[in-house]
Amino acid sequence: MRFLRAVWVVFVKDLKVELRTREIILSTGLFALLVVVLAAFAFGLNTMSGVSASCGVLWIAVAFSGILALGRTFMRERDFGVWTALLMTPVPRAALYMGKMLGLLVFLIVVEIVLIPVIELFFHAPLMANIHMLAPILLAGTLGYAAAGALFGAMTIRTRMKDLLLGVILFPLIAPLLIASVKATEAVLVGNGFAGASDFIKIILIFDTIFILGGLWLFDVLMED
Amino acid sequence: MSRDLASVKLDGVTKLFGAVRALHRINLEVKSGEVVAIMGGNGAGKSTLLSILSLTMRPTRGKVLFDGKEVRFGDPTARSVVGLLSHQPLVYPDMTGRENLILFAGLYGLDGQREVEAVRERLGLGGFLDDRPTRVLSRGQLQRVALARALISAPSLLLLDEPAAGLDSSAIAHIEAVLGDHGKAGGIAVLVTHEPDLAARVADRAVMIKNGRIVLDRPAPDSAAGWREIYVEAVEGGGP
Repeated sequence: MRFLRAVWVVFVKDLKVELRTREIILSTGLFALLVVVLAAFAFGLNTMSGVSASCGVLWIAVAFSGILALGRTFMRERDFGVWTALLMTPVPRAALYMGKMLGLLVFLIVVEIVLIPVIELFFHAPLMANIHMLAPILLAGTLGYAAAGALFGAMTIRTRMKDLLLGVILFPLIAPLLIASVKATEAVLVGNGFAGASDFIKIILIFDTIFILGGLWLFDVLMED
Repeated sequence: MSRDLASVKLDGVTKLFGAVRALHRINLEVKSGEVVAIMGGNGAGKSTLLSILSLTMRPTRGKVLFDGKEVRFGDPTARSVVGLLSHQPLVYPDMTGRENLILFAGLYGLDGQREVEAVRERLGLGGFLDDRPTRVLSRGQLQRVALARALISAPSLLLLDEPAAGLDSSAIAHIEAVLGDHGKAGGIAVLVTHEPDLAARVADRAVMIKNGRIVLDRPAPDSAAGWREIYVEAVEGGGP
């Protein structure tokens, strides 16, 4: 009960502060939109298969803008040294991890909601028409990203080169997750449905499980010193 | 007050950061009602010692004991008795003081509103607690919010890391009053300071640290001059 309450307190705090400042959604959303627009012009709108390109662009935009969101969300804990105060509270530290992860998940989902119609517009890919199948894939892929991101974001919070370290550590680790997310999205968009995406969805779910359980298990130990 | 502590003890505590030895075989026991002031030069190991007492840092060797029992660092309940006033405010800058206090009260399993009112009354916190984010508060106001956060769970072990730095006399008086009340109520306080005047007014015991070792541990002098004298003798003099 104390665990869930702590998760809720941290999660609601992140949402409340974001609603007040809008820093993460604005910076992350604008950066993601920029990636999409640049990609649309770089690929040439009429010369490539819009469907294949759109899947890659969607996940590239999420991955790169997610780094911004990660940096900013943990900056709030670093400013004024609040992270130390959180670590001193008598709640399981895994609850802090879970609260941060859920906050990050919500921020990235908001960004994806903005991105989807824009990508459809530029790449003529049937994202909206397949949203009922895309939504679970987006949720599962973003959950894995948020789970890994929250773990490594917290680990690097007190390091001097945190922004560099975060990207260097995080991207190689989540590369299989991102590739599986791209391929699952593509399978749905070309009309193969969940059946065509099932192998990739399994990979995503395995990564989600590993990152979430690993985060819950390791967070306490990693936060000492 | 949270679960009363009769004693806090560091038993042979050593802390290494790579090849750097920040603390070396520290033995220190503080009993209920005592206010201990720790002094030492920059880099002597004072803040590391507080980090270990606050259970946010695990010693490389040695033990931390609360009431004679070794603290398990992964045990969240052990942390419930500790409050820390750091040289950083340890509050969210984009939230008001009240929101911060309610947030931390929630993490300590408390209702929040009742504790906020109690601590507001105790510290004489004004309207600045409610009407502006903490990032726009003055240094003195911010330190009082930080003190309120440290006290929100009524900790029996209160740790203060240079609490008076940059504060005016009225803000320092609040800290002194809190320390006095804490000792009288049977709490334990460990204070790291560079200010002999503050130490002379609040501390029962003087501990000097030099190069990660305790070089002096004795009853507190009752004047600032006495503190300066033992500081020069123990820290700036010869020895390890």
